[in-house]
Amino acid sequence: MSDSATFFGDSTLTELEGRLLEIYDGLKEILKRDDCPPCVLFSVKQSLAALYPAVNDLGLAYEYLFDYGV
Amino acid sequence: MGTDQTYSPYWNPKMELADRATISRWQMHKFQKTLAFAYANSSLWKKKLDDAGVHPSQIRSLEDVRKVPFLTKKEYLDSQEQEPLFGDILAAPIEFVMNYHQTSGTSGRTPLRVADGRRDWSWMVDAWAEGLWALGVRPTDVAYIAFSYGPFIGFWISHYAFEKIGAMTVPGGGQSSEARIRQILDLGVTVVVATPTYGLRLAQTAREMGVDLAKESKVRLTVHAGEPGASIPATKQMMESMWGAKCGDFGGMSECGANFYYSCSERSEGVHLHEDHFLLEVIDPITTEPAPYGQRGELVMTPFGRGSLPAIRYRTGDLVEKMPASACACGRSFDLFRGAIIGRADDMRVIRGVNVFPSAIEDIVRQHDEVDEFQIVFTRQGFQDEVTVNVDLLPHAYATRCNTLAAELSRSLSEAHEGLRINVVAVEPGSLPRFELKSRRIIDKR
Repeated sequence: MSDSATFFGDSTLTELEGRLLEIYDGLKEILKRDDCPPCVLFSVKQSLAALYPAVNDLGLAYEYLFDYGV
Repeated sequence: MGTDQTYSPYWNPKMELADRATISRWQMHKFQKTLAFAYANSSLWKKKLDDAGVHPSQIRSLEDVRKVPFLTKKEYLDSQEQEPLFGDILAAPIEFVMNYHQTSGTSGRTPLRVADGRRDWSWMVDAWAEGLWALGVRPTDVAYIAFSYGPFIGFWISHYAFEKIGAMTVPGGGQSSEARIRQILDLGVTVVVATPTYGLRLAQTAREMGVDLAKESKVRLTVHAGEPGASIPATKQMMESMWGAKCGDFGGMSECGANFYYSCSERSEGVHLHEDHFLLEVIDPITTEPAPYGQRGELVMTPFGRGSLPAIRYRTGDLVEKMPASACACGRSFDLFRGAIIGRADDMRVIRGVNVFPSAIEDIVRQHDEVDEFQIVFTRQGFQDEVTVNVDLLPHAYATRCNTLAAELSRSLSEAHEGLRINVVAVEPGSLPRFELKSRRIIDKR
């Protein structure tokens, strides 16, 4: 789980924010696996990069993703 | 979902409408993480901070940020010359960078190189999209990128930002200006992207083709970046008149990735700082003390999304004047730069005790739409410095009133510069160079 859910000072996440983080963290989980064929691996990398601005813009996560190759 | 009326006017209302304390808290969080990452991963930053006796853990407030040493363009270039390709500023595993760009290079030096990974590129595109959305770009638009698509980062990011919004995005690379005008008309283009210089050039080309863009095209927005100009009042007015469209100004630079300011859809005297994606400080360039609202100073920026090449407290050399967000009616909480980039610290010349800014000259020259192009030449005659403005007039103006116009311009320029004599010479039409990217209108022969 991303460690930064309350940077804006919010005590709770909205339902939308919670869903976004769930998907975002799910993509990171997939990238930790070693059984992804290239079509999955690079699509998920691209998806994680694409989703990052949404969680960053909402103040849910601000982090580097080089460990995920992203 | 899907109709224009259902969209929020703000790309990210949570941040764009946040109060100042929230913005500052968010910026501090990002600055701390950016600095810690740079310290851990970039040998240039490890050395710089160690030499300054600063550890990232000591930076706990925006006031503390001033303890962090500046980064200069010279350091950036030196780093890349000493350790090609990207220098010891590089903070990312090279195998994870995927986008390469470079500047055109100046004074025979190696060009400045930048490289971005997937996350960083996605951040840049999102930041551009936020600005375009604020200006009024929507999925129903047809965007035309009048750009050569070379190695300069220029409008590459904007291309993907239009795509992200869902606008039909037309790459206008590798064509003549006439062909581009025909495409703009044929495709029903509603947004045109170009440098300010080239935006005017395109409009002039249309006139020469007998096309009145304001009446015959569907263009409603023009988007400009790459050089100052779109916020110079006379240039902006000329652009809006020739295109019959609202003109937006976006500021970016290769070293920092995304755009750091943008125009919104309101008419205000300024452009919004991208405060959710950058820490933008304004300092007195001599004392390096912070410059308050209303005081002209040098822009120092820290982008929060360029992980591969951390440009922390980067001295841009650009002169700006900050004003509070309340000066714009759009409701955004982000402060503004009055008139965007006012000039460059190294562009200003002192001629016989008078400060001469090329942007101030442009503002006067562009009030005359008979001037197609211009050039500012500094010379030394004996012990005296001289400034001459060469104006390249439209053929009919050159034939009928070149001497009168040159005299009028010389008088206006002199009045705006404490009575300084500024020579104006009308040159043969078409004899001055034209530019698609960054214009080079200043020649210093001293």
